[in-house]
Amino acid sequence: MTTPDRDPSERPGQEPTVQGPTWTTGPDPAGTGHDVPAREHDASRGWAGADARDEEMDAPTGPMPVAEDDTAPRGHDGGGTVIRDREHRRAAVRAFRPRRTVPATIAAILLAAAAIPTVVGAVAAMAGRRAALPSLSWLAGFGRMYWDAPAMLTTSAVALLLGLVLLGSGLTAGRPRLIPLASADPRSVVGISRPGLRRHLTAVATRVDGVSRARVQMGRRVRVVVDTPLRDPGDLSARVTETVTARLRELEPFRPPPVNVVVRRRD
Amino acid sequence: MGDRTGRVNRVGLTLTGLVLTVVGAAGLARGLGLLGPAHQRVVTPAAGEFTAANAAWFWPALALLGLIVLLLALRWLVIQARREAVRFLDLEHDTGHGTTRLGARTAAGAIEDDLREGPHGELAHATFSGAPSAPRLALDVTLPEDADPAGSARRAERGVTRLRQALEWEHMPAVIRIRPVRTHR
Repeated sequence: MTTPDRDPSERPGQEPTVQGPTWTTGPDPAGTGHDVPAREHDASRGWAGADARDEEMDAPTGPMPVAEDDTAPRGHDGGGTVIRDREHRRAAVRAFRPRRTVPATIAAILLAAAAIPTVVGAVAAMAGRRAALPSLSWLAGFGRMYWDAPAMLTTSAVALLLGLVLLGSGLTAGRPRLIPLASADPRSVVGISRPGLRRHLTAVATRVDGVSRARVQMGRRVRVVVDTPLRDPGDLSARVTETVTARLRELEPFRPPPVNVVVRRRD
Repeated sequence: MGDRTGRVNRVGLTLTGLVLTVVGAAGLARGLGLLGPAHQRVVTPAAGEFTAANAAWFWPALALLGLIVLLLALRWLVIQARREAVRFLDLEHDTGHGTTRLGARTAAGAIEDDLREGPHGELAHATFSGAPSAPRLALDVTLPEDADPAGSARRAERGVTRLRQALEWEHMPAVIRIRPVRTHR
């Protein structure tokens, strides 16, 4: 393993205190989740809404310590760790929240598709004629239809279902696009891509002695399936678990997922 | 990143979803006889008479409503492709002394070069978004899957700190994305 950036001593609670701005509770104490980092264009406030410190960006705050070695802790800092982590995590989750581009695109196209015949029809009616849209003439049938006709009931049910799906995608947070990681800097949000972390943990598990192949599934928990040619795998499962868990701990995700390892004997 | 697109999408989806849900539920309730007689035409003769009597404003109003919805929908579509990147940064904030501008690409290149010399073969890509006088930094770091992402994240954080110092923007928010990618073996 070539990991010169490793810092084996890195554990919460024993790091030197990180200098820099003190943590102040952001403008979203109730945790409503509606508060986007401070004001939209106000970069001086930082991610977690570190509150009204200085209005000017170049206010003298003293230089930030830039450690040149890799012993600087990333995550926690001495005091107020819990609040800080929670606030920081919330900011990270907000930053990595899915944008809902796909459902939004579909909804926008559907809206436009519904609006065009409405406009054409209404303009035609103003001019005292019927709209000549041969491809949409089937729509006229709906007006003459009965409410309890199967086609009408189906249409209503589809509209209801589609509406609930759109509501769901608009109101639920959704799975973050990246897995948020702890950071020593309140103005930085750090995340690792889910498929990227899966690939990396696969590589880490493959390098364990006695493992010929590894597969990793990322869900609520990290599931690692390793193949081994060893007749007696011994403590292989424990070693893989330890290696993968240690690597996850170094990355410091806000909520480290539990690791499950399955060992299979393959010749 | 001030995710305006995401917020617009969520509001748009919620409103569209609400309208569809209400219309669908009402139609279903009517068809099942919960809201008046079920065996009735969707457009009753009374409704026809109403539109005929009020044709002077009804059709123009409907056309206008349709047009507004159409324009909003098209705008919503266009937003999906929008990039919120800025092309330059306003370095000098003292309004009395003019403005010093730095190309956003130049500043991005500085941190990209800074991080390229890393031990893991990382590739960094930086973009600035928001306002030129208060930008936000988005830093994408790509590295081989077998390299150490934790170390890479720490290096990226320090690179961001150095950039903040160089620009004298100690408060510039940054989003760092670490992406381990497959390398051929």
